[in-house]
Amino acid sequence: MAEPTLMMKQYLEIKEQYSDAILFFRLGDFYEMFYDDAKVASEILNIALTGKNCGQEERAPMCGVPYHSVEPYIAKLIAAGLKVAICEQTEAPQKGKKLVDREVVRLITPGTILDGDFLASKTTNYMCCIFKDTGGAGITFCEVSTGDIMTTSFIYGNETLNIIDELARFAPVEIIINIDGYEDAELKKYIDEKTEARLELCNDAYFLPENAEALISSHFKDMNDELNQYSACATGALLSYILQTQQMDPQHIRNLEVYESAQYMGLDQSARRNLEIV
Amino acid sequence: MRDKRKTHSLFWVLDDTKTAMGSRILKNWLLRPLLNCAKINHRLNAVASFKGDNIARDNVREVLCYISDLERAISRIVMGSANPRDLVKMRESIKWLPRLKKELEFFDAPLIKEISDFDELYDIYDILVRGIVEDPPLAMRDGKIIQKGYNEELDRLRVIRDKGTGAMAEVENAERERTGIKNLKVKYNKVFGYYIEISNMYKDRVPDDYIRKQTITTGERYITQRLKEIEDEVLGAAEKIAALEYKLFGEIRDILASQVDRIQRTARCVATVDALCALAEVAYKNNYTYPVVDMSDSIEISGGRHPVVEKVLRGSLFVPNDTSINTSDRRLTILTGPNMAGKSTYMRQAALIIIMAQIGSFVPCDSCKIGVVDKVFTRVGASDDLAAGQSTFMVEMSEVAGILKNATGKSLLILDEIGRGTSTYDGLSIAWAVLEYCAQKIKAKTLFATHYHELTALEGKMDGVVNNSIAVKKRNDDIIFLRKIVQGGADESYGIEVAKLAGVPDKITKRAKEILEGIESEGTQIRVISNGRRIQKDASAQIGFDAFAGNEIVEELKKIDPNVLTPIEALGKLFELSKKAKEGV
Repeated sequence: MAEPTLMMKQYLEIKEQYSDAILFFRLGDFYEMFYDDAKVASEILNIALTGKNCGQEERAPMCGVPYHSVEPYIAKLIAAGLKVAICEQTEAPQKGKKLVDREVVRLITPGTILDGDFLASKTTNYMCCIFKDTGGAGITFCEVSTGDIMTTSFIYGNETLNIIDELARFAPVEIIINIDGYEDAELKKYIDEKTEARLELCNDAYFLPENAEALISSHFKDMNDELNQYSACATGALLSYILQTQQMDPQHIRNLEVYESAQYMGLDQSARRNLEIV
Repeated sequence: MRDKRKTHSLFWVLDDTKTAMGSRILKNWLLRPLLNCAKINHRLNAVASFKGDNIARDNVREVLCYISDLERAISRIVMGSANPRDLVKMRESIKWLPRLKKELEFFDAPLIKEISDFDELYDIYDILVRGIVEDPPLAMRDGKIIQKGYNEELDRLRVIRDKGTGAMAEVENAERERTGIKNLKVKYNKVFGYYIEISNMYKDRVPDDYIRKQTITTGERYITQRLKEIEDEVLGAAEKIAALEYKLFGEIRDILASQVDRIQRTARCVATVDALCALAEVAYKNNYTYPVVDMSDSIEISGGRHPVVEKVLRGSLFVPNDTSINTSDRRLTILTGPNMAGKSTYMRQAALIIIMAQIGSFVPCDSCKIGVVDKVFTRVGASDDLAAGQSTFMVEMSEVAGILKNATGKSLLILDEIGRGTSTYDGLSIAWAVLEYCAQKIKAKTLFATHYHELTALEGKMDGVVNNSIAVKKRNDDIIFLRKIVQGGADESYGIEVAKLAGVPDKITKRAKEILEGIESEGTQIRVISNGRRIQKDASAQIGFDAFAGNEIVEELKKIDPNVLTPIEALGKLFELSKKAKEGV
């Protein structure tokens, strides 16, 4: 097989790091998608699938959208439950240099959308992070577009049902959960069948208490004492996820509300559905 | 985009907010009704205050119309994705804050006083007025963003650029005079910059110091030394201006970002004002009343209406009803009456009124007193789990199990047709046992709708159990729903009359009546006549389809999987079967 071109080599290197996202690869005035990304995106976006000669035997499937009106295309892919990685040219083209540097500057997911064009103004857009093991569970909800963040935890048994009730309450558009938590059959069934949320399954390394504590004390002053370990792990993981996708410190997320579900009227999922509250 | 707002929800009725922030906070209240009496009354008190003065409230709401989504704007500013228009929206919103504060002075409820004490963000407004022009473009890199007078260097560069543009006009005039070419023009394009264009007609008059750059069909393009000098100055300045404006815009954005705390706090106050005003507005328009909310154990609603159904019916046709539940002599209400008469509406109405009261909203009734409810449970016939492969009865029972496990004496239980999913006597026994458990063990406030009239015998025998029914007027074989809840159990279920009302053919309802009379006169022994065979069965067992074995219609029924049929397909199948049955008679 022939060698891919320099540009395609760069693409493949970056794509490898973001294999779970549709990679928007900036080429001049366009964001281009290649291979499977192109096939998936051209279908959803209803745009032409073409090909690009990239030095290989066969032309690489390709589709693209103009950079100046990229928002509606991203919104469509997000609405279809996908994650989009925006890769920009991070230097101006120079004479004598064949390839400009490119870097992913932002990941867009249903829960981390900020732009007004993507978001219905009167709709809440919560994302949430669940950390659950055999001893208990913590859940943190955050609306990245407004900075609202709140967390609660359950350690007296019944965690699965309690978590499900909280999910029914806030109807998040994106759920981050640790692998052990997702192995809970009842919770998995609820998330898979009753929510339309995008799921991000994370391994335990994402939820390390040390990391969580460090992140929380740097981001929310003096909050560690008020959080139990489950809430801390869920909140810490959520913060890392936002940092990682936005590549920017979310300074507007600053008032962490610690709540207990017993402060509010208990309405389980079937009551919410039957009574048609929101 | 992605606006999945549901109509006909409680939120749909209550959301009369003017800002997106207010709408979101109101939704948040609905997601989390309060249990703390003091907090509930704090809100109710504010709503009452807003409701008390229509003119002053209108003034507040008018100001709110001019305030845009500060919460999401500041988020975008912090995350570096705000454009110049976002800053303008923020400026135009902040402009109205002092006016809003002034309009709020008319109200003296403590909560309104609290949230009126917001930071008017004068300094931020000042920066935005001094820094950003009236109507900047969406793009950040093309300049025209920063206001004159904000930055000396920028003003200086702009003078150079503008002078340059003037100088070009001077060059044009001077060269016309020098060469005598009347249609000589100084033009600009991105490739060559500034140049002089001479049409073919005057080509021979071009002076020697012109340097030819390009030939086009209609003429020639030239530059001169002087033109080049001015061009360097103008373009240099323009480039510097764009870069400097971008930098200054970034600086202003950073200044705002550093004040995120203050802006968020003010935004939250505005949102709360909006949500409270909306509740007052809705209360006024829909004729809601102030609920008395306390820690007592009773719920007394007089003349209650269903907030959503009333809205859909536009008020006039809705029949109000009373609800009275407590933890002593009226713990559990057994509700009987025909289907379609309004049992479910009545029970949901009680739950919705309680939820409204506990978010601090006025409620649709003549008067009411609500002892705070800690949880609301509902068990209403659900069908959406059928597709998931669980049988209806299984779903019903697992929901009942959950309710019995989690309900407390402070909870409200709405149980609709418990036991319907299984055979008559199994169902009756389960309903009876559940009812006993709710009334005697959990002692929860319960509304219990049932088809089993046998249960009405429990009134007077079991503590706290009372009978209510929905009034129905019978005229010959027809019935009229009065939708009024009355004391006492229903005498019969009118199932056959309802079937008739729903359009089931006369032939079938007549036959049903015959069977019913047969069952009633012969007690528990029933006879099933089919294909000329006579089978006797004990009534405690389900009548098996075996009795009809060999019957073509039954065989066909067995083949149907209702889970995979669409409603249209189901209806088609029913027509087909009905036709066959008629032909068979």
